[in-house]
Amino acid sequence: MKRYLETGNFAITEGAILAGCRFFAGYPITPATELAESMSYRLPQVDGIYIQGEDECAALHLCIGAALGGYKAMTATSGPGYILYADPYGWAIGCEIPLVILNSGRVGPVSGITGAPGQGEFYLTRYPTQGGNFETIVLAPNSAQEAMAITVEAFYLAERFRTPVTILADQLITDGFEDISVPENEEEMKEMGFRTWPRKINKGPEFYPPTDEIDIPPVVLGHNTGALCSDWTPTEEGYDIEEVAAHHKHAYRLIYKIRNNRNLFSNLYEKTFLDDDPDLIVVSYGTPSRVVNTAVKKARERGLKVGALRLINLWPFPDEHFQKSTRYLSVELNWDGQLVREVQRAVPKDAEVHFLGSCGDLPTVQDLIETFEKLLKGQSLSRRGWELEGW
Amino acid sequence: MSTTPLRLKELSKKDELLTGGHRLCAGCGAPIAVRQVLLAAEMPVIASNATGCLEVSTTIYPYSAWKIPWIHTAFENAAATISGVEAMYRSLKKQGKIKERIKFIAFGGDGGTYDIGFQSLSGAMERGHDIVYICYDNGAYMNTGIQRSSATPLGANTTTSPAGSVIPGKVQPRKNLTKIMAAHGIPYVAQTTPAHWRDLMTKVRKALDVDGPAFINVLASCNRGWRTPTDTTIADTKMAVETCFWPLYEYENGRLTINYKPKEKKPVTEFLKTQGRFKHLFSPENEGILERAQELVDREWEALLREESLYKSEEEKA
Repeated sequence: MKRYLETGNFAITEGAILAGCRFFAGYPITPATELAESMSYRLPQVDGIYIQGEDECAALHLCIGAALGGYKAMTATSGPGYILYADPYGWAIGCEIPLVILNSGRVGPVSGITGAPGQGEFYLTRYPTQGGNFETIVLAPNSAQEAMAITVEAFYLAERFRTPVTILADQLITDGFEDISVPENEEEMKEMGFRTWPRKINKGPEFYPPTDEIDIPPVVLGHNTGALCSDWTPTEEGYDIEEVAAHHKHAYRLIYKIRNNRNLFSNLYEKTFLDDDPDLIVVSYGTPSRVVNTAVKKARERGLKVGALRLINLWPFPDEHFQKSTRYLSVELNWDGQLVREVQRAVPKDAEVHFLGSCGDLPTVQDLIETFEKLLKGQSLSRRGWELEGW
Repeated sequence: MSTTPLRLKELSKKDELLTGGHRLCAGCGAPIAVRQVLLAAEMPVIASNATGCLEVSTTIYPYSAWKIPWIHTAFENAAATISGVEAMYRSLKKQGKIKERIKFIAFGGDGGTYDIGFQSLSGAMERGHDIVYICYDNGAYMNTGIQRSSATPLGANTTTSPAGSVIPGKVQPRKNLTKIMAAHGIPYVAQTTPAHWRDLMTKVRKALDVDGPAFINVLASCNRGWRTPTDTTIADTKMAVETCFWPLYEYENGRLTINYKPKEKKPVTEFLKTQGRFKHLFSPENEGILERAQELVDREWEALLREESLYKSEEEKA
């Protein structure tokens, strides 16, 4: 194990290399630029390839090409670049191509603020492309060290599910300097709970089986596979077909291979003080969850019966954590309220759901404790003169 | 309308349309070029500006350095957005709602022009909008911290083409965008530098005068990315021309004119050696890259000379 004081971008680079990633297509954008920079430096040292696209759309298409050639591939961006992935992302979902995509959230919409964390792409990562009839896997770390672990896990899941996996981080996670331990061999990787899955090659002739099974090797061109790869509705052998019955099989697979095998990653969450039926459950992910965890601990010291649920697996949304009929508070880095909508949908009908959003800044521990107190007294929330809608 | 003569004495009396007080670095080539462009304009202009150093550093609250209507577009669409504005203007003019002649300028760096904005630029040029696209080419994504672009010259050290034991800086030569724009067959295409202010301003006037799309590529040094002192901007861009790394030329309705031929063409190393981004090329193992760099310059320069003489001989025959 080697320790570093380094950024999340560094940790993600090392995680990707440990996971077997040997292809990175980059395109500069704050706050994910340093990831492209470190990949351009590190990958050639391990016989990997760094290519810079002419834009984000090209970068992800480059990754698709590399994955179809048999490489584990990755790209990274921030919100304004993530939207340019819409086309290749859909392609990779439809053609079932394993890829890893990092989105380091900044404050939007559009260019917004580059130097602060934001969480504006919660829904965009669920629907990164058009057309529907698919499910996505999205994981959200909350530290540099965890970003490394989640990167390794994302490659693992991408291979087993044959699908692109988004790591939804934010500016503080990728840019912030933290204490990072990098395993130096397989034994140390195992100790840290890192699991990897090798790239296998589908030899056909059933490239697109109409089942929800996972662990079917992805389509790789060449290698005597005779594989076809096209973004039309495929037959099981990969031919294009304009037929509703075939599309039913295709859509079923894209949705249910993920939904029915969620147990592979549904352990990715963190519960703090949730064992004694708290009167308030604070839900969050990414950077704000670190403030939430501190606030909840302090609130407990003051005798407030508050617990914290931190989501790491964001999509498919883990409804199972929201069975209790109690008060929920969603703490997010946006003002429009995104995660809270999903919480509202998942909780029992008589549960109370509240929202605390920040836009370009982070909530303070004090802010949070005051909010907890208000909610526990049954008072409504308001923030800086801005009255919240009826969450 | 009277035209201000291109003399410093007269020009200095004109109002600056990009004012001081912006946050671009000392010695940055971009604002020098933009000031010259706007000083040359004799009619009202409206600008769109792709994301980049020029854009982020000129409009920070509570100031704007721009004294013209100005639109910040995304990184990829300065040409498309200004095309839309121009189309609206044409319609309003046709309806008699606008009388005066207004021109539309798009500014973009090399990242926003050579790479992500290339499609939108090409589309606007092909559709024939009455716009002028000005690229300030500093040879990398300087705004995000010096990543290679397709304008980055062969061998340059950038953060995503890091020079070391595995690669000697950028391994590909730069894209010749000016020639690509000339291939669009638009009325006016030119390249120039802020060191040649009279050349630049003459070209801007020609570009604004034509009815239809025009493109000007301006080599604008970046002290951070080129690793040069802040007081050598003009000398550095001048040397690019003296070595024929960046020849001054223009295409008027498809006809090439080379605007400046150095009496003695200097070796390209004269341009490279003052810049930290090429420092590693001067160690013995990278000799081959310097030779290649010279070859690329020679090939482009000779092709330009041949092409120009072809036009001349045809005209003589006619």
